[in-house]
Amino acid sequence: MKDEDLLRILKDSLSAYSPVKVDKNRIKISLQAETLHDVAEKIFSIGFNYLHTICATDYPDKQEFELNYIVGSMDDDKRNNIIMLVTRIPKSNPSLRTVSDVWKAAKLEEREEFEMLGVNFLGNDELQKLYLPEDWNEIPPLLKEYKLKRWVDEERNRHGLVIEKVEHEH
Amino acid sequence: MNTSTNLQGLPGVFEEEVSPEGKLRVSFGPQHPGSGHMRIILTINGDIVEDAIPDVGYVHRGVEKMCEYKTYIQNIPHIERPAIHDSAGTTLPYILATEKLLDLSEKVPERAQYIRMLLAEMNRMINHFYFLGILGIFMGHSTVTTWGMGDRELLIETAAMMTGARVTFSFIVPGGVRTDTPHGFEERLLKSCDYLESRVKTYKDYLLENPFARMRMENVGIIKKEDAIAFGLAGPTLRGSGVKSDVRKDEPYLLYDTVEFDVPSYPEGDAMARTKVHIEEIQQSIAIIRQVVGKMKPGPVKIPLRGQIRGKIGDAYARVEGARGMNSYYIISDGQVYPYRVRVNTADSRNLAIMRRVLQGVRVADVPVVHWSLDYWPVAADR
Repeated sequence: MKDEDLLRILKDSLSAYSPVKVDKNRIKISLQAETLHDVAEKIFSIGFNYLHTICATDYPDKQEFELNYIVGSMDDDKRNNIIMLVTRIPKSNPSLRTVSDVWKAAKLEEREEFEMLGVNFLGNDELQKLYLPEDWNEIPPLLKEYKLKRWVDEERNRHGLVIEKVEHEH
Repeated sequence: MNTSTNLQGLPGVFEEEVSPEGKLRVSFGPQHPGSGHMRIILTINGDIVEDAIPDVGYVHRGVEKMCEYKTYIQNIPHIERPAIHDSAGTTLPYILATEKLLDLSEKVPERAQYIRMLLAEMNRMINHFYFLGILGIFMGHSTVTTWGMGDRELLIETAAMMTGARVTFSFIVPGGVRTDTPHGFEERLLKSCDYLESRVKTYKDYLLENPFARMRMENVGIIKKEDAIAFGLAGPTLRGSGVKSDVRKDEPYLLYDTVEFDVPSYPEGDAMARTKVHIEEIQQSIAIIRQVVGKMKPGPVKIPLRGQIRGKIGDAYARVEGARGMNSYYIISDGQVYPYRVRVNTADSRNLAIMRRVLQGVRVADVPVVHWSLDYWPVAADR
């Protein structure tokens, strides 16, 4: 389906939101976290039945998480279209309603984002560790404050081997 | 029947246990030669699997976190490590998304696009021959095992002729490919394709017509069409359940809209259907390679990029049809030399979602066949 046709359908069924074409075959809808589940059900009902992925991103300077729900379709005429639902939630209360009742695939995706960033998906009963070791007791590793080479740096500092960070410049 | 996707309830280290009702709980893996660094905790009643909890994460290496610490170019080699059977199909969506951030998508030379297609299709065949080989191990069919590995080797050597590496090529880069094809490469590739096409018929005889192989694979591990879509399955697993979906057709990238090929699909949803899809995809890849070689004209293969590349502020999402299904990358850039966030979404990690459900009720001897036919490769799934 052409982006323009899909935009027209979306504007009819989701008149309160403003779908924007961001790229060829990519339509983005920014919304409030409270309305996410309703919009998810609506786009599911018009054929977006194939969840690609959920991506949570940490923005420490704004103290927010951004969540991207990337959804495709297995309907014959919408195979090329992708809708991205974007919402932001505060890090002080990082929770929002699960969409695993809309797309079954969301359960595993939500569980991964819970594990890696600490986002709490209310209603998902499987929010447990998935990929991390059973004895992992540090903060969720995809938070920006988790530094990848911290252990290396500490060890080097202990031996007096401070290596200046190389800045990449043009 | 527990229809949950939940993988939890993991007991940690344990020895075989027998419950008062006589059910045996046993670990399948992680040291099992075929399961590939993951284990499945099986609860067995007699010969029937009552529950199968996949325990994953043995090969999680934090690719998404590593991406935030490396430049766009430095990311290429470690991104393709988790999927050595399909390194082109794993790197390609990352490169396409990066090119979107660099506004390069329209500028990549035609010859470079065709070379990328050649490599992607060779990788698809490498993966599928590997699939058939390991399927042979799991069925106790050692002939197909050695054949699969042998035929894969032919393609690996051909790919090494072009890229200089056997499995992890790092050959596709933003702006094109690293180098042009060497002298005599096309002839060798076409000759390999002629040979492999004759081999495909033999595989069909030995796997699809063989009554023992059919007994092992038919009506085993059935996935319904609606489940395949709802759980977001991908690749041959999706097409083996009757969904005729392929990103190369759905949203053509590179120059896939200029070549003709079919998307094999079977409605049965069992291990046999998934195996048939693999074998027929080899034939389709051969057809694509022949067309591409015919269309290729001499020309540049790369846009030279100077200095450290920086993505524009924004995001990009790209997907391709990798050998085991749709691989996609979502990259957020804040204008620095490192990506701000990279979300890696592999077909393998989505095929994991249905594993518990599909293994329930199968016989113990069928677990390896079902597990492998799902096209789940733990290393690519754990990332």
